Amino acid sequence: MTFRSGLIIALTVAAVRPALAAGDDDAKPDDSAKKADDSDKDKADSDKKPEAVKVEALVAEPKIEPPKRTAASGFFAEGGLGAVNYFGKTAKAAALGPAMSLRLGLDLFSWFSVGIFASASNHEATVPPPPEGEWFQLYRGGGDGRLGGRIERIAFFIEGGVGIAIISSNVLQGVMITDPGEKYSITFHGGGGLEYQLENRHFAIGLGIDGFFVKQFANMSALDSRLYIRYTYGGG
Amino acid sequence: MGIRYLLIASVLVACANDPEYVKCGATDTMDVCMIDSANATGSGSAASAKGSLHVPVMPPDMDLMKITTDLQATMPADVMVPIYRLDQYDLSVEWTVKNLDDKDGQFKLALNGANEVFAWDPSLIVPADDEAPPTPSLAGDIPTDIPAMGQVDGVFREDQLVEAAIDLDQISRANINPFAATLIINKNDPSFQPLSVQLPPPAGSNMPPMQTPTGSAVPRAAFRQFVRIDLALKTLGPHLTVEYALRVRPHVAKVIHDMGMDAPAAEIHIYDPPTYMPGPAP
Repeated sequence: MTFRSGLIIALTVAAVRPALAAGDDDAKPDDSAKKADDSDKDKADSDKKPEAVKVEALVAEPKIEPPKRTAASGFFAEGGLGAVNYFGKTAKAAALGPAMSLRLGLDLFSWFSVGIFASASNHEATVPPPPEGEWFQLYRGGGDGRLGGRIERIAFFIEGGVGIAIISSNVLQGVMITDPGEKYSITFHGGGGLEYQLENRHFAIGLGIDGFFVKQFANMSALDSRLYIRYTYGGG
Repeated sequence: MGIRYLLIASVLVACANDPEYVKCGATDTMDVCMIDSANATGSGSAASAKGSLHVPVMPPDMDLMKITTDLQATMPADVMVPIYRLDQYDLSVEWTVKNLDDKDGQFKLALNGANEVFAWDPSLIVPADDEAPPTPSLAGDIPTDIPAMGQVDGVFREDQLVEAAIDLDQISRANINPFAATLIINKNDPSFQPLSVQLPPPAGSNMPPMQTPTGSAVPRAAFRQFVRIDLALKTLGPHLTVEYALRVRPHVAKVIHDMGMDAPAAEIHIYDPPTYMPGPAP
C-alpha cells in the first residue's frame, strides 16, 4: 500500500467515525421506565414499620477503672527541707532553725528499706551575752532503717537510726551544753511519716518527723520535721 | 563530678573557718573576763578597771616552724617574721556592760593588746605636759551612755582588731607616732616603713628632727597578730560591770587550741611581753 492510499483511508475513517458512534447510542435499550417502577416499590416498603428486633448484648459493657498507682522499688534518693527545734536545756540556748537533709537507700523488700542520711541545721545561739547574735550549725550523718506499708497512693513508715553529730562551734560551751574541745557526738533518731505516690511511679512526696538525741552534747534532744521528695530508680 | 568535688571542698573550707569562743579558763588564772568598776585603779578621769584574756595559741610545732622559716627566707634580712601572724587567725571581742545602779551613767571601754613581742598600755605613758592629749588606746574608748539598771552590748569587730594589731606593730616596730598609727586607717596596708627613733627637739628649737625611713619595709605577711586582749573600763558614775568573750576564727590548723583557755598548760603558749614605751614625745 502506498503512502497516498493509506492517507486516503485514514481520512475516510476519521470522517465516518462520529456517524458510527451516534448509531451505537440509538441501539441501547431504554431502562428509565424500569427505574421509576423500582423506586415506587421501595417507597411502599419503607412506609411499613420495621419489625422489632431484639439485640442481646454478647459482651458486658466494660467498666473503666483508673489504673492503680504503682510505686517503683529499688535504689532511691530523698531530699528534704524542714526545721529542727530543740527541747529541754538546749531550748533555752538554741533557737528553732532551718534544716536540710539527704537520704540514699535501697528497698530491700516492699516493707523494709535501709539507707544512709546526712542533714544540716542552722540555729541562733540564744545564750546569755556575750556572745550575742551568733549562729552555729549542727551536722548529722549516719545510717537508718525504715519499716512501712502502702494503701493505694498513701504510704506510711516508721524509721530509726544511729550516726554522728558535729557542732560547728563552741558557742554553747558557756552554758555547758558542750565541753571544752568537744565537737563530735553519737546521735540516735527515730520517727515516722507519710508519703504520697505521684502518678509517675518513680516520684513520691512525703512528710517525716523524727526526734533525735545527741548524747555527748549534754543529752541534747530535738525534733526534726521535713517535707521531702523521693525518687526511686527501680521498676515497679 | 566536678560540682560534687566543689561541694565537698566548700564544706571542708567552711568548717576550717568555724569560730571558737574563748572565755577565761583554768589554764591562766590571771585572765579576767568580768571587769568591775568598783575595782578601778587611778583617780579622776584616769581611773579604770582592767581585764585581759589570752588567745589560746599553741606552741609552734615542726610544721609551723618550717612555714615560718620558709617565709623568713623570702624576707629582707632586717625583717623578723613572727610566729603568730595576722593571716593565721581573726579576732573579735563581744562585750556586755551592765549598770548595777539606779542612775544613768556613761562609760568608755578601751581595747588594747599584746603581740608576741610587746604589749600596749597607754595608761603607763605619761603625757609630756598638762595640755598634751592622753596617749590613745588601740580601739574603742568612746563615751557611751547607759541607762539606770540597763545593759549595753557591743562588739569590737574583726577589722577593728586587725587595725589595732597593725597599729601596735607600727608603734613598736616602726617607731610610728601612736597618734599617727591610730588615726590613720592601716588595715588594708600591704606594708609599713620603719622610721628612725623620734628624738627630742635640739637645744634652741621647738621642732624635733624629722624621722627618716630606716631599714626595709615590713610586708603584710610579717605583721604581728595579737596574742592577748586587754580591756579597760572607765566610768565616773555608777557601778558598772563588763563581761566579754573573745571570738577566734582560725584560718590554719594547729595554731589555736580548740579547748581554749581550758587546754592543758603544756598545750598552749601564754604570752605576757613587756609593755612598749615609745620614744620621747615632741
